[in-house]
Amino acid sequence: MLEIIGLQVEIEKRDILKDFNLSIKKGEIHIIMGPNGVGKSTLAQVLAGYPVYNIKKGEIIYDGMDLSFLSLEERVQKKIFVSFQNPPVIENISMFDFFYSLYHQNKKNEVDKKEFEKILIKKMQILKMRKELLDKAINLGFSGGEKKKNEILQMEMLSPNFIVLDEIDAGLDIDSLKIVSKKINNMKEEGKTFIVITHCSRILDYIDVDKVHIIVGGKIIKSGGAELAYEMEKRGYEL
Amino acid sequence: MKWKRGDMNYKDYLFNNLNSYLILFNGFFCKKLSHISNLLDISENFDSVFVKIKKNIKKPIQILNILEKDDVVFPKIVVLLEENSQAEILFNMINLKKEKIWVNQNIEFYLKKGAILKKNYFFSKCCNLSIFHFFNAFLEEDSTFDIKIFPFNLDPYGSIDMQYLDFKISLNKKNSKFFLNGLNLLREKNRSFFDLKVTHENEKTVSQQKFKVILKKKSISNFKSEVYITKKAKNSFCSLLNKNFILEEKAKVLSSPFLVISSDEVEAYHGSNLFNLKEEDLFYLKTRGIGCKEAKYLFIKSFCKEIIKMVNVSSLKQQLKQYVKNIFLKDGCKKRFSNF
Repeated sequence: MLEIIGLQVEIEKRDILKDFNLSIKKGEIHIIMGPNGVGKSTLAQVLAGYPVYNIKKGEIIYDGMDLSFLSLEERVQKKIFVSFQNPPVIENISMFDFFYSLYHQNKKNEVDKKEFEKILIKKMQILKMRKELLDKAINLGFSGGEKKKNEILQMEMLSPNFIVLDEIDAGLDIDSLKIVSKKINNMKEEGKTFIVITHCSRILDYIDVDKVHIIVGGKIIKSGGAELAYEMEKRGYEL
Repeated sequence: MKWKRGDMNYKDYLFNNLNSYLILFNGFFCKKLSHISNLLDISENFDSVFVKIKKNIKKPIQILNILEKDDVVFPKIVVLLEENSQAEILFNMINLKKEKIWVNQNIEFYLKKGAILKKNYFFSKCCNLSIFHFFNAFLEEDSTFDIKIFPFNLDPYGSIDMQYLDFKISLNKKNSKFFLNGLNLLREKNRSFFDLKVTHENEKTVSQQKFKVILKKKSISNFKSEVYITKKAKNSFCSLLNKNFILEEKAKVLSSPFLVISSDEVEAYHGSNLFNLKEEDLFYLKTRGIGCKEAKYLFIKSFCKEIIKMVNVSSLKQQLKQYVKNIFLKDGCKKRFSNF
């Protein structure tokens, strides 16, 4: 599904990822853990296609093609979804207009606005999101947890095949974490593939993880099962 | 009155479902001006058209101003609402000339006790037009003046090159209320000067202003609004907000919201905002499959929606929506937003 080979990424002439290698099969959930500032979010942004990062070396092979040559639109068409660690507040677009547009940009079939609202509210209720949020601007006045749930809602509406979740557990209370984790597990059962970036092992209590990778200094220094995450939490990242 | 001249049928510019109208045709009422300076001081010089509203009028009155000659001054329109009467006015203007034309008009409103006036101000077809419009309103006890203003040309092939809109509102008696909600869409080298002065003269008076402007190309918006709350105007409320959305770097905004408060017991807000499309926002939307053109459309749509949804004449509302959708967005994505 995804093969990252010898990836070297820089921003403003500073190397962030160095000789980064990762291989993920379809339907797997991989956890990326590590201390602050080691390149976890850079990895997510590079996969999303954020243009400020310069790929100096290496390849990102996704379904047989080099992802670094694909535009943002092409990545969305290839069913790649990257959630943001700090989703922006977009003051001038209402949540409803955003989701209606998002749905129609990515699906061929026309849905009437009222019908769409019903579908959306139903999905929001599952995530325990207030339906009043639909009248607000995107992420304006949202709590940290609501912003993260909003990312999950977008993920569900887009129905991607490959998903990168950047610190999705940060800001979520325990009940919300369980709901989001259930969603991830369900999507895994449907054959979706995940990279979950996190700081702590709490989310591992609820999701069905295949591999855990520890990243330090821009590259993976250790990989293992879920037990590695618990070990890191006890010992810290200094190996 | 002949409804048809050449290809133009004036009836096309009246809303068919509304039956009361007042047509002001320059051939009947207007005088030709030899010099622009004459335009600025006409309020006392010409005969007036007097509209007296004695009781509630259910359907809106349409005032259709038709221009067919050179620079014109319309007669002063005086609208008087008697005690406890209610009315809605649709003020529209069409211009048939292709040459540049200067227009001046002065409208005065007198609202007696308990009267309610709603007004929609817009332009259906105006090519190469420069307008000077003066509005004066005098409000008595418990009266309400609610104006929605769209001072741009709804015709895609013309433009209002220069707008000078001058409002002077006197909230003379207690509990009188003034609401202004406006949307202006400026393109090419359009210039807009919006000069408003509201005076709260008595207690428990209310004024609320929200004026939004979207600017393209080299257009300029100059918004100046002054609200004076006098000593007598205790327990009054004022809110004044000017929001601007610059789509291209060469467009300019000058915004001056002023509050002068001479009474202690008031609630008053004023502010001015400037928005533009941030590259981070566009990146975020693009990662969700929403391209630059669609993102721009969503921004503009949401910005305009708040004001357009206040219009209660559905055919006018549709025209405004259509204009925003088809005409104002036709250029698509500009260079400055094409980094992604």
